[in-house]
Order: sequence, then structure tokens, then C-alpha cells
Amino acid sequence: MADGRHLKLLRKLKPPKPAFGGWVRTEIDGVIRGWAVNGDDPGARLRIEVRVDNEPLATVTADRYDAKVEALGHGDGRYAFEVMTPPALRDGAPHRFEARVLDGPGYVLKVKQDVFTFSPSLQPPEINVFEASWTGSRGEVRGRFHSPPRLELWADGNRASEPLDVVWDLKKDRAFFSLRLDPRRMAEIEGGALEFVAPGMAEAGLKGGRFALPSALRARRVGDGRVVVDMPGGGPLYGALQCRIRIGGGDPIFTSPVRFERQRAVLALPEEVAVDGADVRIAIDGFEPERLRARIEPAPPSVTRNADLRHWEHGGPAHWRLGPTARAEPGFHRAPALLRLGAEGHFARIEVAGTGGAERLLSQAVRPSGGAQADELALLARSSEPAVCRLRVLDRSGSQAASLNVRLPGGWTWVYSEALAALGPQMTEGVVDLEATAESGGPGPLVVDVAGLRLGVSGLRVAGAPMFGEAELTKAARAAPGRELVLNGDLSRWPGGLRFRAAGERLETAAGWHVLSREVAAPLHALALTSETDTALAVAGEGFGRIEVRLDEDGVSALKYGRVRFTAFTPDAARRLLAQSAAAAPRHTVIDRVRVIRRSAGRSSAGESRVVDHVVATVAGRLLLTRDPHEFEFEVRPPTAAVVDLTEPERAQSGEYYLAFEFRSAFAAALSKVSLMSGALRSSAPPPTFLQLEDRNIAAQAGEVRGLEAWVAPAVVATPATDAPARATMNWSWSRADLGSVEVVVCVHNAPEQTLACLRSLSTSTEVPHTVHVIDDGSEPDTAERVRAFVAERPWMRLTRHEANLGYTASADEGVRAATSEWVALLNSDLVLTRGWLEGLLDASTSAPDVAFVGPVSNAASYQSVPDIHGPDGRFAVNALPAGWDAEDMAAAVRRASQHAFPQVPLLNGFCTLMRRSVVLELGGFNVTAFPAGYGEENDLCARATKAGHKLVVADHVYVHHVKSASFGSERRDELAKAGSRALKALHPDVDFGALTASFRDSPPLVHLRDAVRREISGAVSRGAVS
Amino acid sequence: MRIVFVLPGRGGGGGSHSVVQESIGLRRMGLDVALATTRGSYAGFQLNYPELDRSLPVPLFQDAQELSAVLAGADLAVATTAPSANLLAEALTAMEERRPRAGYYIQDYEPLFFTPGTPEWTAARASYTVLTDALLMAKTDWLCRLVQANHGRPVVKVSPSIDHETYHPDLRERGPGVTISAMIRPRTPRRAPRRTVRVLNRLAAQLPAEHALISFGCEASELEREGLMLDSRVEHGGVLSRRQVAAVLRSSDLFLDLSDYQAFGRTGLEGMACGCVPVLPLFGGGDEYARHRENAYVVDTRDDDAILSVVSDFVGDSAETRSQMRSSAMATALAYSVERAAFSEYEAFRRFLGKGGRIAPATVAEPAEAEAPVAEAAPEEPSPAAEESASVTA
Repeated sequence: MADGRHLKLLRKLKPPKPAFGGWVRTEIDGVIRGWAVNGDDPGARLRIEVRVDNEPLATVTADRYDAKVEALGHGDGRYAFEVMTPPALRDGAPHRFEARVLDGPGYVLKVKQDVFTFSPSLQPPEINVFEASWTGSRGEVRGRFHSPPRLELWADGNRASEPLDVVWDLKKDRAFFSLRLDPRRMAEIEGGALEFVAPGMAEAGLKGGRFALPSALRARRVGDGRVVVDMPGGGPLYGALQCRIRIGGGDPIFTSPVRFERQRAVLALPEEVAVDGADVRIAIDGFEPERLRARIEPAPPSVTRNADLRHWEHGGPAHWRLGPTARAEPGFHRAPALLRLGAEGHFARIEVAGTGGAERLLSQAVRPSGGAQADELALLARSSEPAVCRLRVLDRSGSQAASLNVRLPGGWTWVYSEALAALGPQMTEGVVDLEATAESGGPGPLVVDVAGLRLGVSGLRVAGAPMFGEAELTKAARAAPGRELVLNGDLSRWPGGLRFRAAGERLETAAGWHVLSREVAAPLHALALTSETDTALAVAGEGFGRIEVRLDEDGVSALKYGRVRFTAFTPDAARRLLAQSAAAAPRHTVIDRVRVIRRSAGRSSAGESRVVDHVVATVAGRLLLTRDPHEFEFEVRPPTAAVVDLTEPERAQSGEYYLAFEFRSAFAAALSKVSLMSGALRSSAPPPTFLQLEDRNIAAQAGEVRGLEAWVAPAVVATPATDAPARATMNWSWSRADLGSVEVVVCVHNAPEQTLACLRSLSTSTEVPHTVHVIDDGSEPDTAERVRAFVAERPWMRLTRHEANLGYTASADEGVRAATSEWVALLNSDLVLTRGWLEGLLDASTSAPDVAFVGPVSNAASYQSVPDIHGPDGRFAVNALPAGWDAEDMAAAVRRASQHAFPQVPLLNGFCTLMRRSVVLELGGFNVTAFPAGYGEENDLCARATKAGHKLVVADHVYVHHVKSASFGSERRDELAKAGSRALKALHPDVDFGALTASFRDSPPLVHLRDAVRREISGAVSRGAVS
Repeated sequence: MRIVFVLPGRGGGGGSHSVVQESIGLRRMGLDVALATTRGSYAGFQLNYPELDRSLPVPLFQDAQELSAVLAGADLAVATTAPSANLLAEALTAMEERRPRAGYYIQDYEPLFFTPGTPEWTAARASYTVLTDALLMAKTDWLCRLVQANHGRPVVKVSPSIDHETYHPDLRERGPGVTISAMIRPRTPRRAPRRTVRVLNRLAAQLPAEHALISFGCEASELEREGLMLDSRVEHGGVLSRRQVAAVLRSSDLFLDLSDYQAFGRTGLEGMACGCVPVLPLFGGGDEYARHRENAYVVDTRDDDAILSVVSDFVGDSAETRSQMRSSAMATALAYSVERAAFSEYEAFRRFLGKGGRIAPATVAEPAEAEAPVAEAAPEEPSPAAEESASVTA
């Protein structure tokens, strides 16, 4: 820049009389240049204000080196400054300017010509950076210039370099530059945003060519021996960077030259080198920048979860949401096209209604944590007919951030396609969305098979790692049972000291352990309490306080069931922490809540960013602590994660997870040995399974058809045990009376356990359409309430309650009369019904015309008893079940032993009778007056029925277990029986009950049955099946 | 007294097989049984049942009016499908006198075949009540209960049957590998073709090489059209005749019927008759004969893992255990004879035709003579019961 005029001017200068000295001028490149010095203090760099038309343009420090100023004898010559005039001042009009020293008393620099006029055609240079790396950069300068400008580097508003040594390639109105940078020098520059400018541009607030160097290193293992190394945070960085990679701390175990393309290098390493946690460093020109260090992580290769659609839940692929008209089912085919890409053959067959326009197939909310982790979209799909698929990433506002269009040729040909998705680090939440449009454009169903769709790290195809799905396996493994999810739960690491005070802040104490105080006025004191065996964190506070322990994110987000254990107490040491404060130590310390929380970035209603805590599960509440350590243990079952919705980003599964202990009032507590162990799921909560009826017509109506309810059950319907008929549980929820179903009447008086057992067995053993009418005949409140609750849950049962005990006969009569069905089964409340009992009774009812009543056989039902009618004492037997048998075993033995003869008998025991209602009404119902408490009423009814020509039948293939006389004690029973017998004889003097009972007893099919059942039992004994 | 089964269409399904072979069985027992079918599909019907013409009369009809003519003089007209029940109701209404009583031999719960709300669905639902005073019968308890519960009509249970001539075992020693077969019907969604292909492909990926996988039931081109690609390891046999199916079942150890449900599951039972253990859907009437892990595997077919798990159990079992299950399957299947089924139907007819009703022997006993169209056969006198019902419904 030196010219003759300038030198002449300098020679005329005399040593400055005032302490301040300097000049300013404009030059033809549109730059105001000058220098200023304080003669009394040559070491000072003066601050200069440049004003144009009396308005301040820039404030600069006169510290640039100018050889001519040095030649004039001014110290080191670093007294010059430059300010580029902005475009607004290049308007062809004259402008007056001046430069004033700010540090002095208004000293104005000398100027020869204080007016400049610049043409609008002369604009400041426009600088673009094409490529930037630690070792060099390339770019261009556009504009009108006689010679290319000097370039210098600025970082965060500060000049970071002297003018650089640039190689120029001049074109018309354009100059391309390239330059080398020293990685050491680059490592020294603080700040992320770097800028190439011409001198004076930055001072005038003009933008130069901006770029950023990668500020960090990330290394992730994506397959056996495969490591993807990223240098995130930089850009633009499109070129290649040659460097060396070194793996393994101070004593490297592996070094290799490596070339980064687009900020990424994919390494194929020996497996023993590519281990999680190994130290990775990058050496550029022999220099290892400190910030380019990382440890190898086992990172998920895909931001999208279940990217290979291998995992299915009830209704669809796990983690994906189906489009509104889409229906999906799993497919599997080891097609070579899939195997080549590392896929195993899983795919989703998705069918959409096909309106002719774009139809959404699948979508998933994702959290790409910065652009470097999610920079590629990939799709592997095929279709029935030619179609175009569009895979998009939408940001939170629904705007498209990246997309991939793939044409599927139809004919079920697999197509793989991938595209870069430069999302940028600001993209932290979004949705991956797949749409399809049939090329035919017409309406009609379109079927697309999707074998993989992924937003994730690029370069996997190059690396040969599985492209889809590995993340899920990793995740599943992390939530595997028996895995500890609390990080530093034993408090073994204390990186920040052993004593803390948090006032209105959140403070880390032991590693991963935070204490939170909401108000400055209510600080928390925390302390490491070490004993011989373990370490505890003691915390005390005067008001609200919270202790948070960091959890393993992946493990907790996949957790379905776990057990939380911790030791807590209120030691004196913790109480003493409060001694200095005004508050007295608390009398009691209560942990108000123990919760699993997820912390994520969210937005307030006003749209401002804030941290959002979401309660994942409440583990326990109100725990009173004692001075002695107590070990607490609780179950934790986070609810099944909902599919993430864009409108509810807080529900996303990612974020930081903590186990939080909350205190609401003054407390002094200590925690140690904190553990959250993932556990195996209980059978009551099976893992989600994909269940689907393939035929849509069936799926559309199965839930509506009576008897097919189980077909749409959300869980797998278990197959019955080996020896039972393989039958789906028929949940005949209720049946309409006009369908000719059966009403079951159960008369209840106290004995709640037996009654409920009876009703339960009725529910589980009855497979034909029926309704149940329970008549509670003045039971005690406990029984009444339990029966009421039981009936309330079963829509096919109803309850009638007598506030006072009216007696069995009145209840039975009421039950039969109140029924609307032709057949009524009247039951005692102390029965155990067995499978198929009612069908069996109905079978027997059709065995002959005019059958009015049917009864089963039992263990305690006078002449219907098996194997014995009488006990050793001569009384009617109450046959015990053989040891090891239950009622069903006995029922099975009776079925095997029975001749299915359905013998007609003169009487029936009233414990369990199927009655033709019209016959009961025809006979005038039960005789309530003569038999108020039962014991004889059924014989009376049977006698009347027989006289009227109706038949009574024993269903000799049905066994119903009779617990026997739950309602009355044994003595009272005998009394009632005697009274009943007297009344019966009085009412039926014409009937020889002795003869009738003898014929009943000797009925050949029943004799045979009793013998055969005895043989069944003894056979089982000899086989060792029973004892 | 004459009985006419009304079986429109070309047949070929499990339900048609039952009706045809049991009609023949009844005829063989000496009853006057005819099988009326539609003229338009008769050629296909003959192809499916070439033996039929020699065994019993097959009068033809095309509409309700013609069916009325066919039924003249019959005592019992038995519909066999929902459309035939509706057609039969129409034909009976049109008959002025000598109207036979009606029966419906229910083969499946046909509303499940159609989209709810469509005319076909409505007609299928109506079929169970459209015939007034009719004998409804079905061959599984499940079907009886289902119709009873949803339509309020009692359904009589009759015995199912299989054709032991065609489906018989081969008791010769087998190699160590397990052969697994499955039928694929790409255009019958309730037979779950996609699930079947998916499971076969997963088995192809999992099973050691000594085990074989066979599929049949459709042309390979049809599979391809539907996008159902089978693993190269699965040997696809295409469309097979009944004899060929029996041969495949005889060579198989395990037969996969992965349908959404089976009203009966004829192929499963036929497989058992051939000495092959079936995997059957839990939903439906398969419990008529299947005992889980005893002579069959019964699973919730909605769940692939449940299916794969029992297959892997079977393959992993000792040869002895497998052989035990196969024996148990064969023993079960042997109990289902055409004669037993025909007899149970005869019993149902006898009870239904009721007091004083009798079932006359066949008027044409010889197969050669049986070819004469039934409509032209000398009509029997109507039973009092038939007269009564005619007067009620007239």
C-alpha cells in the first residue's frame, strides 16, 4: 500500500507536540485508514471513533501493524487502523468524515481531505468459504477490485490473525483463494464461528465468509470392528481431511492414516481395538488438538427406532404410527435384495385405501440430537403397483426439513434408496413420515412392503454394518432383566468434593447425584457420610428439597418392570448440617415422594424453552425415616410408552431420567445403596405381541358376535392344558331371555367364601348362554357387600337382596317365578360347578319327553351321591374328594364312568336342579308355608310333578361338588330335616316315600355309576395318581 | 320319504365335501337322498365329485322356481350354505302344497365371510332364521352354540366325517427329518395366506436343513401376483387334487392350518387321518377333535410366536414323542367315519320329522337307476308332520 505521497507526508511530520498524534484518510478501495499514537505512552493502543457525517460509523483499536508508521519511529508500528465504508455510504454523494481518539480529550486525527465520494459500483467484497478444515481452506471473493484484498481471520468479534498468506486465482470480478492453516494455531483460537474478512470489514460490521471447524470428536461402534468417527459441529466442511487416528490412551494400540469425508470417517478396525470406551484421538499434521478426543460408544446407528420393522406390538410395528387408512401386518422373506443390505428379511406389509393422492403409511416422532447423528434418510421398499414413496423429516412446526423421494416400479421389486438429510444441530425433535402415491393416480388399495426406513448416520452401507434395526437390539439388551439402571448408586464417585451447599439451584454432589433447592432463602446442605462399609449422601434443608439420582436412559425408557431399593435414615450428622441455620432440626423426616422422572427440553405455554419434568412412575410416598438405616424396596412399572405425538413432545421417550426423592418440609436425611434393577415381567403383563386376524371381515365383527369375544382379545389366548379339550374360553357375557337361554338362580344366606367360590365356579364352568339371578336372603352385611361387588362386575348377573331372612323356600320360589326363561337352574350357594355342568343337564332334559326336572350327581346329594350314598355312620355320606383330586378330576371320572343313561327317578335332591319353569308354575310353585327353611320342599315339588305325569331325570354324566350346608350348622340341619320329613308325609299321605327312595337308590344306572366311580378312584390310587 | 340336500356351486370346499360324502353315506344306508345343485356350475361340480353321478341322483336347478320343482314330493329339504338356505326359503314359500319340511346343515358361520352391513352379510345372518320350523344342524359344538347364542335357534349336533378311502396313513418308517406342510389360499383371507407364507419363511430361516417345508393350494403365479414370495427352501406343489393332497399329508409330520379360525378344520382332521399332526387355530370348532399336545397343536394363530413355538417344540421333540402324537392323531381321525356322520344325521332327521314320522328306504337303490332325475321319481305320501308344517307356513 505504500506510495510516494504517503512517504512525503510522513517526512513533513515533526515530532508531535501534543501527546497524541496520527492521521486519517480514505483510499480508492473504499477503506478509511489511519494511525494514532500516544507519544507519552507508546505501549498504549488507542481507541478511535470514526464518524461520518457527524454520525459514529465504527469504534476501532489502532493496533494494526504498519511498516511505515514503524519507519517513522513509532514503537513497534502497531498503531494503524482500517474501517471499510459500508454500501450505504457508497452512493456517489460526498460524505464528511473524521476520526477522534476516545482515550484522549477529544483529540481529532489530522486529515488532508475530509470528504469522500464513492461510486455505488464499488461495493465491499463478498467472501464465500467453500471448504474449511484444520489445515486449510478454500473460497472465493466477488466484487470489483484492482487486486484481490488481503484476508484475515476473525473469531467471535476479535481479530485472530494477521493478514494471511493466500494463494489467489483471479477471474473476472472473482478471485478464488486457498490457504493453509496451522492446526496448532487453529486449536488456540477460542470460539466456534470463524470468519475470513478483508481488513476493515469486521470493524465496520460487515460480514465476511463464515465457517466453523469441528470442535469435537465422536466415535461410535456400528458393527463388529466398524467404527464411525464424526467431527460434529463444523461447517462448511465438504472436503477431505487427511490425518492419523490413534486408538488407546497414552500407549496407543492402533494408529492409522485416515481420511475424513464430509466430517466422517468409517474405520474397519481389528475387533480387539474397536471396543466400547477405547480412547480415540486425531492427529492433524502431527498435532493432536485436545478437543478432538473421544471414547468409542456403542451408539445406535439409527435415530428411528425399530427401523427394520422387526418388532411388532398389538396392532402394528412397534414405535411406528400407522397412517389413518393404513393397515399393517408383518412379513418375512429372506430375499437376496434384503440380505445384501444386512437386513434379515423382516418387512411390514402396509395397505392403504388408496384415494389417488398421497397416503401416509407410517410415521414416528424422533429426536435427532444434532445434525451429525442423523444425516441420512434411507428406505428399502417394494410395492404391488408403480408408486412413489416420499420419506420426509418434519420439524416441530410441521415444516419439511429433509426428504427422500423413491419410485417403486411395482411388481414387488425391492428398491433401496438413500439421501443426505442435513438437519442441523438445532433440529432436536421431529417426525419421520412415509407417504406413498400410486402412479396410476386412481383410487384403489395400494400395498407397499417396507423392509427398512431410517433416519440415522450415513456411511453404514460403506461400512457394511446392518443398516436397520441394531439400535433396537441394543435397547432391548439394556432393558434386559437384572440390569442395574442407577448410575453411581453406591455413591463411590465424588468428583466435585464431599461437602456442598445449594441455594436456589441444582447442584451435582456425588457423580450423577444432584440436590435441588428451589429458593435461595432455603438452602440445602449436603455431605458425604462415609462408613466402613459404604457411603451415604446426607442432605438437610429447611423447606422443599429434592435429591435426584441419574438413571441409565436407554434402560429406563425401555423398562417395563423393575425393583427400586435404597437405604434411608435420618442420621445425627445430617441434623447437625442444619445446626448453623435458624431452623431447628426437624423432629421427623419424611420422604414425600419417590419418583422416576424424565427431564427434557420443552416449551412453556408462552413458547419459551424450559426444562420439563415428566413423572414416569411414582414409586412410593410418605416414607418416615428413623435414625437407624432402613432398607426400602418397591416395584416400579412405568406405563407403556405412548407413541410420541408432535403436539406433546414431553412424552417422547428420550431425555434424562432420574430417581427423585422429594421432601416437602424441613428434613435431614441420608441415602445410600440406591438401586433400580430391571426385572422380568410378571405373567400378568406380557410383552406386547402383534396379534391380528388376517381377514378384515372377521376382525370387523368378531367383537360383536356373541361367543367370539376372545378373538379380539388384546393378549394371546392361552391354549388349555393338555388333557382338556382345546377350547377357547367362551365368554358368553349374557344372553337375551328371548333366545331361550337358561336362568341360574342362586340362593345365598351368609357363608361368603363358599358363596363366592360357587359364583366363581359358575362363571368359569358355564359355557351355554345363561343369566344369573343371585338372591341374597338376609345375609350379614359382609357377605352382602362381597356378593354385591362380585355381581356388579358381571353384567349377566343380577342381585335381589332381602333385608330380612325369608327362608330358602321363599327365595327359591321367587327366583323361579322371576325368571323369564323356560329352564331355570336352582342352585344352593355351597356348590362347586364343573365344566359343562349346565350343558349336561340340558342334554339330559332332552332324553325323554316331559322331563321337568334334572339333577346331577354329587359327593353329597343323598341318592345322587357318588361313590357312596351312606357314610359309615349310616347317615347320608359327604364323600370327600380323593387326595390330590379337585372337583374337575371327579367330574372327569364321573364322565368316564357314566353310561349316559339319564335314569328317570322319583325324587331329586334339591341342591342343584334344572327345572322347567312352566311346570313349576303349573304346580303352583314351592310350598313356602310347609317348608320355610328348605329341607323337604324339593321332595314335595318332585312328588307333585310326578303325580302330574312329569319326569325327573338324573344327568348321570354331570358331577357338581357340594361343600354341604354352608348356611346352617350340622345340628340345626338335622332338626330342619326332621321337620321337613314330617311335613312331607303330611302333605303326601298317598306316597310311599320309603319305596320311592329304595327305587331311587337301586336305579341300575346309578348303581353302576357308583361302582364305576369307585373303580375309577381305586384305579387312580393304584396308578399312584392319588393317595 | 325323500331328503334333498341343496348344494349350489361347484363345491370343492370342506363343507361341500362333507355334504357330498355324507349324502352318499345316507344313500348307501338305504335312504332316498338326492343332492340338488345349480345347473350353471354343474360341470365344475362333476369335476370335483366324479363319483357322485354313480352314487345318488343330482337334480339340477337354476332358481327358486326350479328348486321348487326339484323339491316336489320331498319330505325334507336341507340347505347347506347361507345362500342355499335363503333360496330354499324362497322355493318353499312358492310351493303351494306338498311342501317339504326344511333343514339347514350349517357348515360355517357365514356372516364372518362378509363385510358387516353388506347385503351378503345381511343375507348370511338371515339364513339361520329364514327357514321357519327348520332343523338346524352342525358338526361342531362350537357352531351349534354360536348360532344358538346369536340367532336364538337350537342347533342339533351331528357327527363330522372324513373320507378314509382317500385319507389314510402310511405307517412305514420315516427318516430323521421332519416334513412340514401347509395349504396356502391367497384369495381366502380367513385362511390367512399371508400369515402362512410368513411363518413358512421364518421356519425356512430357522429350521436346520434336514427338515422339509412343503406348500400347496394355489398356483405359484397366483402367489407372486399377491406378493407372497416363498423362501426358496419351501417346495410349492401348486394346486393339488384330493388324492395328491392326501399324499402330501401322508408324507408330512406336521400340517399347518394357520387360519384365523376353523368352523371344523377338515384338512386338519384329514391330516390326522394321514398320520400327520396338525397345528390348528384355537378359535372355532377344532376342539371337536383336537387335543392340544396330544394329537394336535392348538394355538392362537394371531400370534406368530405361538405358532413358531409349537413347531419348534415338535421338531425338537424326540422321534418317539412325535410318533406318539402321530399315532394319537390317527386314532382320533379313525373315529370320524362317513357312516357315523350319516347315521347321526339320520337320527336328527328321524327326531325332527317327529312323532309318527318315518324315513322311507330309497326308492332307487341301484346306482345306475339313481341317475334318474329325482324330480321325476314317484313322490311319497307326505308325513302328517310335513302337512302340518305346510299348513302353518302357507
